[in-house]
Amino acid sequence: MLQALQAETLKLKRKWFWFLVFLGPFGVIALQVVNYGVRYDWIMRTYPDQWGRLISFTNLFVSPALLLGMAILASQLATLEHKQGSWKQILALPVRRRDVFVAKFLVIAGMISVSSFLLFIGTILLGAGLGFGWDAPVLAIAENSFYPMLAGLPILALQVWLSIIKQNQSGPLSIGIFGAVFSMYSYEVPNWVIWKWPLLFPDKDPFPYVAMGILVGVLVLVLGVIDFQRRDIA
Amino acid sequence: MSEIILQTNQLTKQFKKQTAVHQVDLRVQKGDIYGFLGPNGAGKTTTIRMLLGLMKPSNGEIEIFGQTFDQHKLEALRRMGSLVEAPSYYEHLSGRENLETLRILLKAPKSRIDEVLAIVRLTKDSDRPVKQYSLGMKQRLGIAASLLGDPELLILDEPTNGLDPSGIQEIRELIKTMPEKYGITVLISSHLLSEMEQMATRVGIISRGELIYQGDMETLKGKALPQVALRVSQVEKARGILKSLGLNACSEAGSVLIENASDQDVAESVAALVHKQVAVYRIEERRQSLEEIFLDLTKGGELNAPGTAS
Ligand SMILES: Nc1ncnc2c1ncn2[C@@H]1O[C@H](COP(=O)(O)OP(=O)(O)OP(=O)(O)O)[C@@H](O)[C@H]1O
Ligand SMILES: [Mg+2]
Repeated sequence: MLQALQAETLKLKRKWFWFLVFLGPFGVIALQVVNYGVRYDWIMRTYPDQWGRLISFTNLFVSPALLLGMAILASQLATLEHKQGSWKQILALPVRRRDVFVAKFLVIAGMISVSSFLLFIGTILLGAGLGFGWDAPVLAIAENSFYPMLAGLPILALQVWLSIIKQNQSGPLSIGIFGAVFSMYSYEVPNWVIWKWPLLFPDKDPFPYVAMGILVGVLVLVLGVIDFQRRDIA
Repeated sequence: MSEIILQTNQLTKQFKKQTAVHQVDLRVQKGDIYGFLGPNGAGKTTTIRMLLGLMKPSNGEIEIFGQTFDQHKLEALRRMGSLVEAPSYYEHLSGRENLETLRILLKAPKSRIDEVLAIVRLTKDSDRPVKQYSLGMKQRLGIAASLLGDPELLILDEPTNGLDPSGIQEIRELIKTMPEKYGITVLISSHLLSEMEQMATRVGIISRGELIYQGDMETLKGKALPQVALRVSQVEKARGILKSLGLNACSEAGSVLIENASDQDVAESVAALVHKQVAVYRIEERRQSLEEIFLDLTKGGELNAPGTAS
């Protein structure tokens, strides 16, 4: 497993994946810079809880950015293998298909953790820049930055699965983009729709979504591995 | 008889619409360069994918290094190297980095990378991105990759496809040295018998999914029957005369052909023809080329004595 992870990270060299990891949180924060730039006085007058407001404004864009990032990264990492027929090469090595699959998942999860961390730092810096001071509610900001990713693990597992089994990435990418857009409007849909989970409903208790996210995420991952093991590699 | 390193029993692969491989019994012995031959679409790649665990057989079984492949897959693959069809690579990485991603998975020593680069003569270009490699260089990188794990059994699927004559020659020379120099047994597929002629010690010929010949290269060459062609004035008359002598004769634009003719046969034939007023213009010996045998075999389906001559 360790070897598979190591090999996977080697392949990221000289690609713009890390730029994407930076772009996500940067975009989310930049939108808030615009938001506050346009109506700073109004926002400050209307919402006395400065940090709380910043967090829920940010939250609105975390979910689509996250889901988009998952879809694109999953597709890119799978394309690395599809492009020059590398599946037949690595899977003819003494390596378990399970390890190859899970390594892809873990590498993307790692990248998205970095994005989440950048979002965490970015939110604090933005608040400070807006004159809220340095006494930020660190825990609440951390929750807002990391919980969506955990609640979104089923979608990551799904995107990795689809991207690996489909030679043509237009399907998996369409599903990813559609899911990202859909997630912004998913307040009304039933709770079992996984695309809703990363939204977390800031006003409710986010923890069940996170717990379910991890649980179902592992389940989808296992299903993906089993399916991948059964496939013929063309 | 030497040790069998790879064998398949009734190996079959059924796709939705067709049977790509049908009850194939391969026998590859230690130290062989086994030429696995067949025209396009015969089922070579499908067979090889099964031998590498990339596809599951619909039926039959595979034994490699004396163990059932299905149950000892990782163990067997650790001792095998492969190159299937077009070479695989990550074009944004250098040749060396490409090998490194595979080396990690193989748990081979780092020094092995320099060794295999030297074997395929890519040392000089090893730090350039593979994007800039020529097809021949990519192919050589693929062969380097197949050697990384210091394999005992090397499986190469059309490794010379798309190369120019000198590239083909180079890879052929490289492969030829493998059994003696590195103790590697090689299974190599091709759709050209002539290419195998100078390399393979054993051949298996597959056509429409079925193994129609398997045996020594020498035995196959022996099947190249000599024919004697006589250019004559009256072909049909000549054929009748030869038949009456008890010879196996057939006619062909302006000539009669005698199969399997001894010197005595030829002498008698000419005498008889001249005696019966048929003018003999030319006498030439023709040897059926290997490629013609191959075509005959794969077109006509079954060979008279199919199966294993081991
Ligand atoms: N994944 C697949 N699904 C369905 N049919 C397939 C698949 N792979 C191969 N086939 C079919 O199986 C047959 C054998 O194909 P295969 O690739 O094994 O031939 P080959 O001997 O390698 O030919 P070539 O010399 O062209 O490489 C072909 O008719 C092909 O169309
Ligand atoms: Mg083929």
